[in-house]
Amino acid sequence: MVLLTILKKLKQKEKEMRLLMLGLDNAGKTTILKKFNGEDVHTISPTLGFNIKTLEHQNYQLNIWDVGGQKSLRSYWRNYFESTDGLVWVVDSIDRRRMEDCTKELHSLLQEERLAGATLLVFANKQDLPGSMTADEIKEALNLDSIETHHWRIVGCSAMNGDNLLAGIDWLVEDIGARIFTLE
Amino acid sequence: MTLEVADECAEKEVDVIGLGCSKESFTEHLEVEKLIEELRTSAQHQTSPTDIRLVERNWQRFAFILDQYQEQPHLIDSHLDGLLTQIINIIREEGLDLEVKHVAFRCLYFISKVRGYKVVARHLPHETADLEPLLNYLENQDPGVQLKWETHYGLLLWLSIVVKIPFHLQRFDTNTSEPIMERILNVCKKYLAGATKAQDMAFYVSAIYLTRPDVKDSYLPGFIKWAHEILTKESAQFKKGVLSTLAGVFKHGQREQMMEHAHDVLRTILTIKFQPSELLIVKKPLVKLTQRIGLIFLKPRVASWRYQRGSRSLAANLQQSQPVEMKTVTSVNDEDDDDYDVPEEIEEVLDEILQALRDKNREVQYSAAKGIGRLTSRLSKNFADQVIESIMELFSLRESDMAWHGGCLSLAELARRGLLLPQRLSSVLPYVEQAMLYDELRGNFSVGSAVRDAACYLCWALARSYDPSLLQPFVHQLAKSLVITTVFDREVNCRRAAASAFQEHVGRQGTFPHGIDILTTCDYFAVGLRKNAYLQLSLFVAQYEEYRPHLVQHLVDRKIVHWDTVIRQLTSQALHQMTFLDPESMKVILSNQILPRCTNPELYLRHGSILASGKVINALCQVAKDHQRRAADEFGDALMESIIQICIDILEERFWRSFGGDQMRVAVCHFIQDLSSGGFPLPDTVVDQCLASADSNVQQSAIRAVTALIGEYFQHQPTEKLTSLLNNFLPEVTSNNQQARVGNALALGSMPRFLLTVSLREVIKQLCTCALITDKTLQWAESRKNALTALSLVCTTVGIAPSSSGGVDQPTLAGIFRTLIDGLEDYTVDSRGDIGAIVRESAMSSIQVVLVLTNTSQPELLDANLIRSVLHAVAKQSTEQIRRTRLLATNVFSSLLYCDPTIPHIQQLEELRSIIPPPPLDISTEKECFDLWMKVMRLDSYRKAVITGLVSSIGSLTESLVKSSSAPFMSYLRQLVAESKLDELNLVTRDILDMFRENLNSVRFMPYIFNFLDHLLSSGCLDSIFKSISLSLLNLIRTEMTSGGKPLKLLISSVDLYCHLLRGDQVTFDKSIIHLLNLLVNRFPRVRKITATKLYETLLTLTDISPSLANHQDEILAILSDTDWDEDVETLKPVKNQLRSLFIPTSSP
Repeated sequence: MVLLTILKKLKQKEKEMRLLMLGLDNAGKTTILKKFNGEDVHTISPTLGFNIKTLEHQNYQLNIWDVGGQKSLRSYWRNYFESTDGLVWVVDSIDRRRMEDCTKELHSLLQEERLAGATLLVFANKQDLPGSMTADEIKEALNLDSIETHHWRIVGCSAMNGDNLLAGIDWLVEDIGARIFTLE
Repeated sequence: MTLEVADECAEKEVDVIGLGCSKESFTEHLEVEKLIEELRTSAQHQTSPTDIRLVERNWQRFAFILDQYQEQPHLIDSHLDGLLTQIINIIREEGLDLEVKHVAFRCLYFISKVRGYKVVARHLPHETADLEPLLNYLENQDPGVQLKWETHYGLLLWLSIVVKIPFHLQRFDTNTSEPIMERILNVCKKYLAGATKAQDMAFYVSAIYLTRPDVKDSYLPGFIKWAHEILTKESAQFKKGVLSTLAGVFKHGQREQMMEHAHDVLRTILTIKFQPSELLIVKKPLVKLTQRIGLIFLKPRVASWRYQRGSRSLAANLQQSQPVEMKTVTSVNDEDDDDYDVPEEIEEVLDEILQALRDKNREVQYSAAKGIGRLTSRLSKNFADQVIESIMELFSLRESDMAWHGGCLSLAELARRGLLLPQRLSSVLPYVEQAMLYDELRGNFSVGSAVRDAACYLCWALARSYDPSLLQPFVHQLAKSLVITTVFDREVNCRRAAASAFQEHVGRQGTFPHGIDILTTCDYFAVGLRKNAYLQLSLFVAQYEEYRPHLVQHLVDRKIVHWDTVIRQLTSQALHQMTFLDPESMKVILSNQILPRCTNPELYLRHGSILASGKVINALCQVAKDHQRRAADEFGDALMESIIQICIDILEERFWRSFGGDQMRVAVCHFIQDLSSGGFPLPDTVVDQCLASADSNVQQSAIRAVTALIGEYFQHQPTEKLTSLLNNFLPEVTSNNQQARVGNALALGSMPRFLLTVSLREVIKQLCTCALITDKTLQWAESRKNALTALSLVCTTVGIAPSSSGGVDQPTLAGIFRTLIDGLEDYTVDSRGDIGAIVRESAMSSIQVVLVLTNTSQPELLDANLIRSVLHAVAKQSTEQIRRTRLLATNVFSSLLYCDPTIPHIQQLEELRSIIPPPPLDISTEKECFDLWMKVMRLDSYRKAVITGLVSSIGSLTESLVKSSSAPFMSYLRQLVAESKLDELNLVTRDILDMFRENLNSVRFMPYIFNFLDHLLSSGCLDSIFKSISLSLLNLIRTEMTSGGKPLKLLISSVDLYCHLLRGDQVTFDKSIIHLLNLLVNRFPRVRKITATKLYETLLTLTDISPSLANHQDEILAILSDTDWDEDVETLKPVKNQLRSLFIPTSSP
């Protein structure tokens, strides 16, 4: 397993972290990723599926995995070369009807052993639209206060105009950084 | 250090990544501080031996706490200063014993192991006042005393920060002593030779020290000269130290200033010839040093020509209001490249490092790969291209696996740095594809999994580094190779690596055909099991046209001929499944590629091809059936003919002889089985030939082949033919060769009904004979086991039918039961131990089958005697000493109780059912099992059977078994006494005595009985009724002991029993004494001594003795203890007579 030792060192040296972007469909995951990547956010088709982008932020290399519309998420938790350091759970703040589904999905996801230790950032997306639930309301709805196994935070944001996206990512990266990286 | 890391990784296997998040903060810092204090105290007070355990425990705890943070060392940071201060205070304390300080150094080492020495060094105090004492300390230590290496390590570590003091060192000199600069240098040199971990520190300090501005000018040239001397004559360890120091010097020193030395040092290391044995140790620092010198020659710069993928800063992107065009620019400004001046030494340096990529040592390879990366980034585009050209030369069939591995690593390194230009991809990718299949046989193992692993890593790196548009032309090639490795690699790490690389490509390139479907199915977890990958995942991927032909072709080209038999088998099964997806093209592959290789002289290829063609033909036959076509039509004339020809060819004996013959036989058997069960139309002559071949060594695979063959091709043959066929097997079942019996018995059991009914009585007679123990077949437990299993199989196949023809009739059935019950008494022992156990187990299972069968079809054939003896025998097995047998027996017993319809004539059925739960039973511990049967023992009908079984458990030699079996039994007896149920107690003892009587002169069982009685009598459970049974017990023991020669062990056991019997009534006492006295003059001195001791002990503890004996007791005891029982028997006889007269005064003259 020499190769893996090397990779572990590389991860430390290059300060890489892997973030998984999840959520129900139409929550805005790909829009957020495109926004991060500086791409046009007005032409997004719903079935993009699976997307990895590498971005630099705060001297870290973020490998962001946008996993949407797939039946099995299990395949993405870890692979031979990487495991997940952070979860970004994106919520569609105006879709009150599916908030219950959303809660169920999130909590069953957090049960996964392989995600233990991963930091959780909840993006309450689409705050720019009228009638959206506030971040606090969503916190209640998702029962986030019951989560004790993961560091978490909820941030209200808008992928379309970019509000608060940076604040959320800043917190996430700092939290992960303090946990897994040697800070010089 | 690296070794340790490697070990750790081996332990945690591939799960090393991802463990880095288990801790939140350094919670145990107070405990660690306390531990350091305790360790110090115990070292100070010269621990007494009792405290050593405590010290050891403290160390262990200390190491354990810190090791938890190995993966997240930064968590310690907040408490690091406190810990270090505590340690340094101990070290600084004046007049403290060096041993105590050593403890502190050990703690320091543990901390720097976890946190990393560079970080720890930064937190150590660096006051000028420390320099002098530190130097003194180091000078007074002997680097040769390896046990003190932690002290040396710690001192040097500390020195590494102290020597950075920003004052000119001459200022510290006093006139009296040596200049301080000289002293530091000498200390460094002294420790460079060491073979301990302290050496790592020594060259770290040396490099830092020698690059100090003041030291560099005055001492570096001298050091280099000294190094040259060392490199020519000293030990490899010493050389390693010197080379590492130089590598450090060239790393830390300023480029311009180092330039003047670079040339000389390079000359030195290139000219010195190292011994191959030395290279193991020296190679890594050598490559490092070469690389560092190379970097000195080249001006640092960012290669203008490197490949960059657009803007990637998240924050910057977010700030942009307008979306930006993705720029994937390869900035092409070649103008400044070619005039860039490259010193000629660079060629030599690169040559050296490229060579190191082929090194046997992975660390050296990786170091070289990194070096290539660093150097290339400073080269001009043309020059860099030449480097890549040379790396590509590593991918040649003439190169070793190490070269391939090194090549993959360095290409990945270049790709990550953007130095592998997109134009190169087209020439690199074919090699990647080859590397992913690299597998080279070396004797009976293979190398190459590391190459394949590294190739997957390279693919992964490519996915991360290049824009989708650049990789587009190679997508199919990459996808194909990665999928093949994902599902068909032999090693789990390669499958996982390939799956990960595939995932990365799908996520970043998005252009892989069916990418998401495949990656979600063939994920990290799913590819973990090889069988699953071969049979399930491959089938899933094969549904896609893009991949199927490649998968099949890969199997045919690479895996049929694979060196691992298991892989060849899996391959044939995978091909079998894929045949259904596309029968037509499989037919072509079968006739063109697989069949012709069935007679290839190369064993693996031949073996794999035979297995594969069998499976494929079988599948094609099924396809024909599904389409309601005749097999002959399905295959076509030409193919039919070649298949039949191949059958004839592979049955030829020349393939079976010599090396690999065994494997070939098995393969041919599988082949025949596949053809037969598929219903392939074979001509009779070939069938006969198959039969002859398969029959010659009838073992597992052959049995399946033969039964399949007969089932398919003999179904409608005339009786004469069947009779003669059956006559092939029948005599073999009672052959004089055990193996022949083993195989043929089972084969007979698996025969189809139409063959068995030809001569059923004969079949069963032969099997019963085979199951019989005769003098000649005493040890043949395996053949008996198979015969019993075969009997049950035959009964199942033909059924029980007393009247109608073709079934087992009543007399035959009785014979079968007799044989089976006899099988339960098989206690054959050979060098492997109680091998009769397998016969007994087989007998029990068979009894269950036959009994249930009879009960459902012809219950009137079961009589009370039969049922009773079966249940008794099984009950007895349930409490015997082998755990597996006990569990099986208990299960069989339970199944018989709850059989539907209920088996008639079971005594006390209701009581039994209330005790034993229905099957399947879940009995995990011995205690549960014995507790269960202890309850059954209270039922009159089963008491004796259970006790008989218990005797062999309680009387056995395994202590845990004796405990778990005797405890419930004894407590049962005590309970009887306590509740005054003397009647029941008497029944128990009666059964015990009966059991004893029935087994008189049983060589096997008697030791168990004696041990059992000893346990029973020592327990005191029978004290209340002992006097009433003592005489009959004595008589039994006497009968046993006086008939024929008995083994020494039994003699010794009998002493115990006689001594117990002294507590019996007067008559028993007198008689027992006589026996004991006789044993005192036994011809074995050991028996005499043991008898004397036992008798002495017993007399001392005897409570109610006759008054006459009480008078003599002291005298008797004196004689027993004072006599030397090693003396000659003749001299002892008078002593015995004297004792006799003392014991039994009336009979003395």
